[in-house]
Amino acid sequence: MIDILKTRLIHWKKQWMSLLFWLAFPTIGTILIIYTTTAIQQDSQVPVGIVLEENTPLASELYHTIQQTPLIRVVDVTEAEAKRKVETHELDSAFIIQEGYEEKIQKGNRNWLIKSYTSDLSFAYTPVKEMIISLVQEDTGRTKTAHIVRQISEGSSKQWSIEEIIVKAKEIQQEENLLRSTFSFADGEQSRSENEVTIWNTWGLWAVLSALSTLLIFDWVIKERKPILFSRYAFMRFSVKSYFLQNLLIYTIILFIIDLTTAYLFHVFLNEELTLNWAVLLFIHRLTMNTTAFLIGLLFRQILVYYSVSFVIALFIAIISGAVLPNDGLTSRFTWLEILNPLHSFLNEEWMNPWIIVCVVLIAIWKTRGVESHA
Amino acid sequence: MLSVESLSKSYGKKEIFKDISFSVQPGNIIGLVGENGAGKSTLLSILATLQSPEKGSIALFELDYKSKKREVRKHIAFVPQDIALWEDLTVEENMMFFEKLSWKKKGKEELKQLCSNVKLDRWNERVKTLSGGMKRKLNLAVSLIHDPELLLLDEPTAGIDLKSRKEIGNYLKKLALENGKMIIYTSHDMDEITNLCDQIICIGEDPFYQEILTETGKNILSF
Repeated sequence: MIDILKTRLIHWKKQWMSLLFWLAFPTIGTILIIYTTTAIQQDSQVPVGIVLEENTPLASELYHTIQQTPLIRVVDVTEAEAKRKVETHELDSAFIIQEGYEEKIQKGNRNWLIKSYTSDLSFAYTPVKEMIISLVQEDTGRTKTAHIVRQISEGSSKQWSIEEIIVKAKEIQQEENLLRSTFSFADGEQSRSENEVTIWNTWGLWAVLSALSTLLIFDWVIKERKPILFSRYAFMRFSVKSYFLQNLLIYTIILFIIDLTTAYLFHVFLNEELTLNWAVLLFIHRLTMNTTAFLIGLLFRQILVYYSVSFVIALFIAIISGAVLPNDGLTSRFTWLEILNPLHSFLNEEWMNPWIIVCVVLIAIWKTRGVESHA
Repeated sequence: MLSVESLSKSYGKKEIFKDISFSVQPGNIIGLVGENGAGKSTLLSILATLQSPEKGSIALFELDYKSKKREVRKHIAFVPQDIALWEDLTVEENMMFFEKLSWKKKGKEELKQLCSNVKLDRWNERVKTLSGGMKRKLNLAVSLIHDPELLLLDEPTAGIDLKSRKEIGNYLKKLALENGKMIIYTSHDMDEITNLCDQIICIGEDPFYQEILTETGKNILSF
């Protein structure tokens, strides 16, 4: 094994730049894509000024709800600053949660709760205004409901406070949320609520880039499968097949170490979890990818054809895996796509992967098949 | 000693050769001649354990080819007609690469010496930049890393310049005489064959070869 590793080092010495590039490509590519898209997403948020004139729970809640809206970047300002910044177009628009907001809501008063500033260039004013109005209406609606429930329940044995009714109303609203999106990536979650906008599934994106880089790294299977060289192996300690399988093992160990480093980097830079379960999943995934790439490599003799097919396979995986593009529409119509998807088990955090069983069996058949004349 | 008894081979219904028997003693150089398609390369492949005969038996130092194939291979060097080297690697890297996979461990200096024995001194040059003659010399040197007793060479001097041809020939002669190696090789160059070989095996029925070989006065076996 050490001697095989030494022969591998002789080859790597000649191609260290391309090898290094493809080894780092999935990790660095994923981090860069996520950082870039996050930065673009943040830059494209509409700057909206919010003036909070009172610190009552209801006013603060409204403020936090606006703040959590993904397409809005809330800027805390005073009223004077708000006016000036809207005039100079530093802010798209500004909204003032006026003093007495909570009191007016509780009294069922719906007028003059929020004041706004806008300019002729406030392109997002109308949707932001509508959103804030709907939030305020939720508050007023809940308060009105609470008052009505109180009136109805007067004289009955069970009496609820206004606060209790409002809390219950919120619970019911959350449980029966009408507006939920099924726009989801293949990461195990069935759906995301509308305000959780996640552009990429980190491991999904990595898995697709990693599939491409693994296929390209495994071009050695074609480059080193020269029939003319096979006759040499017959007179050496290792048969051709043994040489290839030991190289497969070396690549698996090295790429798994890179995968573990990736998990650590994702934990540091992208706050992804770092657990033993992930290490096991990564190992199974790595074994699946490497054995698949190895078997695909064995099917080809022309390196350029192999490279072209590698890109097509990576594209196919990207589409059917749901790792890069949402795939609910596809997988709900064609359920067999999930079976074809080699990333399915990994992205769903399942240890059992049918692909690896198929690949290991095929490799075992390849190893024992027929009489190898030069072995 | 290599002992070949009643060897026959055919591909389907086509008989390639029949009942070939001969033996090779240490220090002997045997030339295999015959027209194209007569079965020289097939015989060489069988002697190299890369193909199996239909009938007959072969033993190398009393090791039977059928039952002790792996053991037999440790004593054989097969130099293919094509250049079986890594073109992108240097001479040194090729020697180091195949040494790592070899039965016998050799140091860098020993490998360098092996190259200089075949008059190959471009240690740091990439194979793809070497001349045809240099490549042939390296092809031979790589096959000798594990110190084999039996050398099987398939047209080792094909398509190379006269100087390289002479150098390879002289080295083979030296290996046989000084190191007691058994050498069997194919060639179309009759001068080379008659100069180098102690015995000539002619395969095929072409009278042209028979006539030429008779004139050489060498020990000739025809099949």
